Amino acid sequence: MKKVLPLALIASLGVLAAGCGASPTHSAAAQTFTTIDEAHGITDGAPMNPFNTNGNSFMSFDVMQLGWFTNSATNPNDFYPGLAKKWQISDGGRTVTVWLQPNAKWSNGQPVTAQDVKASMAAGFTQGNSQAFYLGSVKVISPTEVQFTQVPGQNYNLFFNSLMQQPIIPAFEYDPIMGKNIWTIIDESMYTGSNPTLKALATKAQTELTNIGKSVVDYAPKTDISAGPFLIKNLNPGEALLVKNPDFYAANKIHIKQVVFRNYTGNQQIWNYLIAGQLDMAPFTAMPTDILHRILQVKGNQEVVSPSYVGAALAFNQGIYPYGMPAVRHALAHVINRDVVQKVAEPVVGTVSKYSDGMVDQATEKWLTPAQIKELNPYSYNLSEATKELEKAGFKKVNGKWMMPNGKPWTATIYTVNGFSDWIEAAKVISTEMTQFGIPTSPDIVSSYSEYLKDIALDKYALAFWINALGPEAYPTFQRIYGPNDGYNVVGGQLVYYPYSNKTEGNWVDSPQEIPLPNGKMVNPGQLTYDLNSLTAAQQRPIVQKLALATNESLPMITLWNYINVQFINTTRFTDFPVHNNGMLDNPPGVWIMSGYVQPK
Amino acid sequence: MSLAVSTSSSSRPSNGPSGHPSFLKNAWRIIVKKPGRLIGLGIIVLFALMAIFGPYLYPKQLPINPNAIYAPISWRYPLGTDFEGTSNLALIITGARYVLFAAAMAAVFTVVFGTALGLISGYYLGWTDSVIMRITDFILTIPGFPLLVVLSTVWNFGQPVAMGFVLGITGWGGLARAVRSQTLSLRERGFIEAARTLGLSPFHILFREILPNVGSYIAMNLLLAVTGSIYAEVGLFFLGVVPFQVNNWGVMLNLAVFSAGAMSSAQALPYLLSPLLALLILTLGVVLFLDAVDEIFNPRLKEA
Repeated sequence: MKKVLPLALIASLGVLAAGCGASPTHSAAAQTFTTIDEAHGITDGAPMNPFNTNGNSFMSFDVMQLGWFTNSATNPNDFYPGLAKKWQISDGGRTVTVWLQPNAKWSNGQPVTAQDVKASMAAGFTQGNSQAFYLGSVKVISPTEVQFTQVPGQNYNLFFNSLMQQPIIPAFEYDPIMGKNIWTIIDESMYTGSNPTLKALATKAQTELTNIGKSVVDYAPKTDISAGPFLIKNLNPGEALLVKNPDFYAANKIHIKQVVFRNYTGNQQIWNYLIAGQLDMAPFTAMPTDILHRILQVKGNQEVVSPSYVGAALAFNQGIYPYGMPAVRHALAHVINRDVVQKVAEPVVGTVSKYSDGMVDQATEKWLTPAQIKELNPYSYNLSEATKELEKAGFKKVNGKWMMPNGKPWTATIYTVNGFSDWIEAAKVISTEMTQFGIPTSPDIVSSYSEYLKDIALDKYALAFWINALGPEAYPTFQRIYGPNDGYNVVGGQLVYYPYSNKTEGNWVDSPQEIPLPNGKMVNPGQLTYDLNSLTAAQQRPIVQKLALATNESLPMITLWNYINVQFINTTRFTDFPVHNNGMLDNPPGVWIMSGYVQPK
Repeated sequence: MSLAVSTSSSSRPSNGPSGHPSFLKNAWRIIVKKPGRLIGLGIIVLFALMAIFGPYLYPKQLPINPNAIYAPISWRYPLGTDFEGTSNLALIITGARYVLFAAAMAAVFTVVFGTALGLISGYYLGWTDSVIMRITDFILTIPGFPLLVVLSTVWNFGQPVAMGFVLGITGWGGLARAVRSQTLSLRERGFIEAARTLGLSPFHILFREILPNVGSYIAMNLLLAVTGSIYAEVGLFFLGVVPFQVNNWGVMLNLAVFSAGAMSSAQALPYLLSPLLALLILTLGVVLFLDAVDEIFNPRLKEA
C-alpha cells in the first residue's frame, strides 16, 4: 500500500498534468488568431520599435494610437477611440484637447499618461512626422489630459486626423534616448523668421533633431512594452507570437488569447498561407485570378471588399521632350487600352479607371456634379483619335514609326520597380500597345523603390508609374500631383514654388503653373491644392471641381486603375468579423479585436 | 632529340592546310559512334538555330491576347501562354538568342582568361606564377553569384556581351588553376624540354606544344561553362535584378513564380515549365555531346 499510494499519486498527478497541459494548449490553439502584418514580414533581431521601418512592432496589437480612422470620405475627423477616450476640437481645428483612457496602462503596469503622449509627439518631430501636420505645441494639462495646438498662423484641416494616428510610445523608455532638452531643440528648430542668429540656431537644432531621430529609430527596448491588447511573447524568423495583454484598458473585450504573425518575403507566400487556410485574416494582397479562385475554394475563406482611395497611374515628366506637349499626353491616353491593362495587371484588386482627373472614380462621383462628370474626357481607347492629336501637333508617321516634330524618331521607356508585379505587367502591356502604334517602347525595372523615388526626382524617367489619388481627403489626393513632385512645397507655413530647373527640390512633374479648365480659363493647380489644406469640405468642393476638370484637361498622369481593398478572412476558427462595417474594416485587425469583434468559435 | 620532337608532333591534333577536313571527318566519325552523342549535337544545333533564326520567325513585338491569359497547352499555344496571353513557345524561341549568346560569350571569356593565365602561370613559374595565382585565389574566394547580384544593380546588362563578360571574369579561376596544374606536369615532359633546347619561342611552346595537350580539358570546360553561365544568367534574371525582357527565360521563371503563382496554381504551370524544359533539354544536349568532345580532343582516346 505504501508503494501504491505514491504511485497512484504520481499517476494522478500525471493525468492532472497531462490534463492541465493539454487543455490550455488546445484552447490556446483554438484561440490563436493567425495573420500577417501588411507593412512587412518578421525581421529577426530588428528592434521592437514602431519608428524602425523593419521593426517588430504591430500597429493596433502592441502599438496604439490615440484613435483609429473610419476612412470617411466626408469627415476626416471621424475616429474610433484609441488611447484617447474623448477629444475636443476647437479654434477652427487649430487646437485639440484629448482625454486619455483612465485605465490605460503599459504592459509593465505603469499608467499611460499625458507625458507619454508628449514624448510620442517629440519622437514624431525627430522623424519629421509632427512637422508634417504643423504641430506647434503640446501642453500637459493633467496626467490624462493633453492639449495640442497648430503652428501659429496655420490652419491645416488634417491636423486632428494626423495627430490621432501617431504611434504612442512610453516616455520612460524613449525620453532618455531623446534627452532632457528635446523640446528646446524642437522649439529652436521651428523658427522661420529672419533673425540670422535664430536662423543659425534653427539649422543647428534641425541637424540635432535628425541625429536624435537616428537614435530613436535604432533604439531596441529589451522587452516589448505595449499599451495595446497584445504584447510580443517571442519571435523567430518564421513568426511572432503575441499574447493577450492583461493590463490593456479594455481587456474584457478581447476574446483571443494569442496572435501569430507569419513571416513572408513576397505575395506568393501569403497566397500559400491562404490556400492552406492558415490565415484568419490577410490584408490587401495583389494576386492573379486563378489564385483568388483557389483561395476562395478553401473552407472558411471569404473575400471582404471595402472602398480604397488609391489609384495607379502612368505619370509624365513634362520637362522631357515631347511629354510637355498636351497633345502627346492626350494621344497616349487614347493609345493605352486601360481595360486590357487592368485585366492583365490587376484583375483581382483593381477596377478600370473611368476618369483621369487625379481622383479615384468613387471620389469623382462624390465631388463632381453629373454635368461636370460629363465634361470630363474619358480618353477611351481610340487610335485614330491619337493619330489626329499627334498629327495636329506636328508628328509624322514614317514607315510605321512616329517621328517627333524635331525630326527625331520617338522611342520611350516606361519605368517600374522590381517586385511590383502589377506595375511591371502593366508597363509591358502599355509598351506593346505603344510599340504597335509606332512608338518603340520598352519597360525597365528599377531595383528598389527607394532608388526609384530618388531617380524620378532627378528627372531620369520620362514615363513612370506612380501611386496617385491617395485619399479619401482632397488635399493629399491632389498633393500627389501638385505637391512637392510638381515643385509646390510648404515652407514655414507658406507655399513656395521650386521650378523644374532647380534640380535639388524634386520637381519632376513640371506642370505649367497655369493650366486650363475645359472652358479655357486658367487656374494655378499648386495654389488650389494648397488652399485645400485649410478649408472645410463644403469650401473645398468648388476647388476640387476645378482641380479635377483642369487635371483631366492637362493630364499630367493617366490613371490606369483604382485599387480595391480586398481582404480575406477565415471563419473556420473565428466568427463575428466586422464585414459590414467599412470604417472598422479599413483598420488593422487589432482594432476589430479591441472593439469586441472576432470571437473564437 | 628526334624522339622528343616526334612525341611533340604526335601529341598534337593534326592541323595545317589539310588538317581541318580530316579533323572534321574524324570528329563526325566519333560523334556518330554513339546515338547519344548525335542526339546531343542535334539539340545543340537546334538551340543554335533558334538563337540565330528564332527572332526572325516572329514579329518583333510578340502579339498579346488579354483573352488568353495563362491559356492551357493547345495547338495554337503548344506551350501555353504568359501573363498577357503571349505564346510561351514564341517567348522561348525568341529569347534563346540573348540567353545563348550571353552564355557563349561568358564561356569564351572564361576559357580565354582561364587558359591563357593557367598556361603562363604554369610555364613561367616564379613571381609570374605567384602573382597570377594570388589573383586566381582572390577570384576563387569571391562568392561569384552574390557579386553578380551586386554588379547587376550598378551595371546595365541590356547587351548580352556585357552579361557574358561579367559572367566570364568571375568564372575563370577554377579553369586557370586546372590548366596551370596540367602545364606544370607537361613542362617537365621530354618534348617540351626538346622544344626549349631547339630554341623555340615561349609563345610557340605554350600555344603550339602545351595547349593542344590540354585541349580536351579546355573544350569540355567550354561546354560546361556554357551551361554554368546559362544557370548563372537565368538565376540573375530569376531574382529580377537585371533588365526586363519578357522573353528571357529567367524573367519567365520569375514572373511565373512571383506574379502568376505557378507554385500554387496549375493554370500558370505551363508558364513555369516552358523555360525549365528549355534549360533541361539544352543541358541534356551539352552533357550528351561532352562525351564526344572528350574523344575528339583527347589524343590518347583518339589513338585508341
